[in-house]
Amino acid sequence: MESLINLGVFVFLLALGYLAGHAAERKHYASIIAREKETLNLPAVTIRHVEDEEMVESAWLVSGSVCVGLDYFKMVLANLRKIFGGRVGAYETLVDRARREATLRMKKQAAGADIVLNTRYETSSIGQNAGGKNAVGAVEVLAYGTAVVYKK
Amino acid sequence: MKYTPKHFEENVNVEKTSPLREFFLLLFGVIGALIVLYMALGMVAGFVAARLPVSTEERLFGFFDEKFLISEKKPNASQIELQKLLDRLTALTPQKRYEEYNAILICGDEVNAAALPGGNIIIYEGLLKQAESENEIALVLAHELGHFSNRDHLRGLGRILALFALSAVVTGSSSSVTEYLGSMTVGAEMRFSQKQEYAADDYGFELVSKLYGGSAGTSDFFDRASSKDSKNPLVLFFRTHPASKKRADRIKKRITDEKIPQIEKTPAPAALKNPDCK
Amino acid sequence: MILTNLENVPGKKTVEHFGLVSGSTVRAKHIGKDIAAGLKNIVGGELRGYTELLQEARHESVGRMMKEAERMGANAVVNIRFATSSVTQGASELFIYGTAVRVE
Repeated sequence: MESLINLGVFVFLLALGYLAGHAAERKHYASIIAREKETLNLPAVTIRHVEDEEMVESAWLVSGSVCVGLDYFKMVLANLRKIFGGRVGAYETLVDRARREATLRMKKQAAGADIVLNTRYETSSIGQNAGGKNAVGAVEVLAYGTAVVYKK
Repeated sequence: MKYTPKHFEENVNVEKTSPLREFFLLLFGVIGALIVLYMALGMVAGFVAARLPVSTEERLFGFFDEKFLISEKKPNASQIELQKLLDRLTALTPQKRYEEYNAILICGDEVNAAALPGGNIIIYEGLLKQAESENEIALVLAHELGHFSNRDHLRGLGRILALFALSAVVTGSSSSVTEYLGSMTVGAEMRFSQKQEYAADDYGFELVSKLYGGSAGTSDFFDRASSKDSKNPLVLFFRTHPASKKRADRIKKRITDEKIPQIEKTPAPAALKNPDCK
Repeated sequence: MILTNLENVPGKKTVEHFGLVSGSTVRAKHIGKDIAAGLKNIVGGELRGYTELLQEARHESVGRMMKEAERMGANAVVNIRFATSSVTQGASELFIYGTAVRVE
């Protein structure tokens, strides 16, 4: 009986994780795409130098970070995938969302600038037993760079 | 250096697959792989069981027997009568695998009996209460002796061990899945295949006929046990020993075909009719 | 497609840029390789299964980044950086990013 309850809880969490996680992900992607279009005129590049030093009016460090967690369904899915190997789709959307969100937050700090130079990313998995067997399954991304305003 | 903004809705970094489809594919994959692995391990267990020397068996399971079974064996009249009956049967067995066979009476209304490693037969109080004659009790004991003779009890245990090992590897030894499997399968795995049951039936039937010189109510027992009436507690015995109707018909056919004389039933001794398991 | 981790493509002039392009993938090896790697860890040395995993992941993420740069109309990606992280045990994430440019 107890084991049946456990199984029920597992299935319930799985269904809840799938429905809520799927809805949250779609909403997040819609928001990311909308904001990316808004900030399209502010490029972030990995190049380190400006062409003409004389042109620069001001420069400052900008950064953006985000921590995105995994839903229960994706956690189970990823664990199943790890048995067979191959592409772990469940985590791909997770890191993709985190990167793009961090970039957008960085760009937000760079509002008014013409370009963000020398953009770098740092990724780490945090949470209880990060990277371990019973890890929470969250990924943290930090994006940073130098915002530059050109002389008009 | 000119900047040309470009934006694409389509994302190269995420594979477009349905997570639900992936989930079910993987799940069925896992279940399929586990079933195959389990069956393979079961086959290995069966292979080993059939060749395991008795001395090794006793060493492997001796601890278990001493700890759980021998302490259950109480020196009362019912226990002694049961052991006597078993001894009469084992005296007739063509080849003895174990030096001694033990019959152990277990308290409880369950109508069941089982063959355990080391030549131990457990028989529930409930089954004794249901039996109408000594012949029927003898048939149950002889049936379990048949399992010993065919080494079925070790095959079942081998599969249980294989299942536990698998589950522990996959989900972790203390996981609820392992517990769940444990509670579910120990019962199920003590069941034997139809072929094994037929073999044990034949063995048991021959032994009992030899002991009493006739079929003496053994077909009655099968008839009662295979009746569709689910209220009949004997049905439970056959539930852990599947395909009862076919088995009953097989035994009855043997009685008519081989012209085994119907003789008087031997009444069960009082100590077995009203078992005392205190 | 020219890939470099320099500021530019040596000997060529950068005329146009398209901003950041990136490619990433998360991959895992099947459980057998995980077990083999665990055993290999006792004696140390190269864990071939995981080396292979990283190579596959790198190959795939570079491919994805190039695909992205191509459809932007770039012919080179400069100042490329690699980053690896383990999102979870047994799975490896490889992230590669750079600036998509057109050189002449």
